[in-house]
Amino acid sequence: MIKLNISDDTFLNDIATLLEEGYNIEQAIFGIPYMSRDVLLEIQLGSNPIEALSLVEFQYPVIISLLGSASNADYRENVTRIKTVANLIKKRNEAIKEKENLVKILNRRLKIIRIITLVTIAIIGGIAPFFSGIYSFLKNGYSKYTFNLLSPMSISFLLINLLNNYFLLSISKENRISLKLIITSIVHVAIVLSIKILFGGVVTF
Amino acid sequence: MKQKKEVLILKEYTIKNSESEKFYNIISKIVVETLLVNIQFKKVKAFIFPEHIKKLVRRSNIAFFSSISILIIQLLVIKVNLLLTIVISIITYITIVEISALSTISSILRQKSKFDEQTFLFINSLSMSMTAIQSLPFALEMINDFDVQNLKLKNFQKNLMFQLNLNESETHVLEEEKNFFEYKEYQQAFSRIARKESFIESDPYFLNKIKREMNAIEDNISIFIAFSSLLPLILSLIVSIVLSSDSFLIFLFPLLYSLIGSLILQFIQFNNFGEKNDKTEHF
Repeated sequence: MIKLNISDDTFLNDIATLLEEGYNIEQAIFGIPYMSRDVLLEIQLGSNPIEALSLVEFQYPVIISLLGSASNADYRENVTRIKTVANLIKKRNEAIKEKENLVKILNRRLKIIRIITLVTIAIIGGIAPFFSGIYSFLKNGYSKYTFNLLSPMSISFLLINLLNNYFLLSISKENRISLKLIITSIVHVAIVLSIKILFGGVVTF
Repeated sequence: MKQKKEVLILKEYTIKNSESEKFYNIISKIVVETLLVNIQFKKVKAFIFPEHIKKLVRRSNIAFFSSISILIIQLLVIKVNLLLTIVISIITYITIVEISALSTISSILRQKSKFDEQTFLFINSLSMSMTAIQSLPFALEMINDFDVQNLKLKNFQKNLMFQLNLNESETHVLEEEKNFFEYKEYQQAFSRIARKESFIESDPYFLNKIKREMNAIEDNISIFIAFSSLLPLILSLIVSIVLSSDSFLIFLFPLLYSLIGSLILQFIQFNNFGEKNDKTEHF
C-alpha cells in the first residue's frame, strides 16, 4: 500500500477543485502534484482509475467508494459531495486534535498543582515536630525537641501527602498511580529529613 | 471435559451466591444503595452499572472490617474511652467509603465522556459514509471499518441494521431510534441523515465538556490548593496543642483531611456535571 504525504481532506479538496475546472476523474488524478507514480503508471497501463486509487492507503476507506460513484452522476453534485466529506473529515480531525491538546494542558496544570502541594505539605510535615513541643511546654513548663520519622505526627503527614496526590491523580486520569505515590512518599521523606538536618541544630527547645 | 467445566462453573456460582448472603455484605449493600446511590450519586444515577455497585460493596466491606479492627485495637491496646472509639471507627468507615466513592465517580464520568466522544465520531462517520454511498444500510455497514469501540454503540448499530433488513422504512427507524442520543442536536442530525443533510457540528459537545471541566478545575483549584496546604497546617497546630505527640489519636487528623478533601472533590465534579445537563435542556 502507498501512503500520500497529505491528509485525506486536502486530497479531496484538490480533487474537487480540479473537477470544478472541468476535468474528469482520470485527468484530476494526473493533475495532483503529490500523487504517487505507481498509481499514475497503473492508469497509464490501462486500469480503471478507481482500482488504481485503491492502491493508496487512505485513513477513511469511504473515499474510494465516494470517488467511484463520482464518475456516474452530475459533476456539480459530485463536487458538493466530495467537499462535504472533506469538511466532515476536517472537522473530525480538528476535534480529535483539540481534545488531545486540551487534555494535555489540563494534565500539565494538575501536575504543577500536585508538585506545589507535595512540597508545601512535606515542608509543613517537617516543621510540625516543632509544634508538638507546644503541648509538653503547656503541660510541664518545658519541652524537649524529639524528631522521629515513625512518630504518629510525621506518619499522618505522609498519609495526607499521599491522599492529596491520590486525589489529584484520580482527577487527571493517570495510569501508574501506585508508582507515582511511591515516588511522592520518597520525595516527602527526603524533604522532611533535609528540613530536620537544616533546622534541627538551630532550633532547640 | 465438558462435565468438568460445568462443575467448575457451578462451583463458582455457589461461591458467589454464598458470599452475597453474609451479614456484612448485606450491611454494606444497604449503606451503598441508600447513602451513595440514592443520595450522593443522584445526578449520575443513570450511568451507574452493576459493576460499580459490586466494587463499592466490596470496598465498603473492607471499610467495615478495618473500622471494626480499629475499634478492637483501641479498646484492648490503647484503652481510650468507649464513646471516642466508636466515633473514630465510624469516621474511618465513612472516610474509606467516601474515598472509594470518589474513585468510582471519576471512573463513571470518564466512561461517560468517552461515550460522548464515540457518539460524535459515530454520527460523523455515519454521515460521511452516507454522503459517499447514499444508501443507509451500506453506510451502516461501512462504519465497521471506523473506530466504533463502544459496546453500546456497536449494539445500537447492529439493531439498526437488523431493523433495516426487515424492510422497515428508513425515516421511521431513524425517528424511533434517535432517542438513543442524549443531546438534541445529535438527535436532529441522526434523524436527518436519510434526507442527505450532512452533519457538520461547529463545536462538538465532548470538547465543550472537557473545556467546562478545565474551567471548573481552574475556578476551584485555588480553593483546593489553599485547602490542601493550609488545612494540614491549622489542623496540626490544633492537634499539637490538644494532644501529646505520642498519642495515636493524631491519626484522626489525616482521616478528617481525607474525608473533607474527598467531599470537596465530589462537589466539584458533580457541580461540573450538573452544568452540562442544564445546558442541554435549553435546545
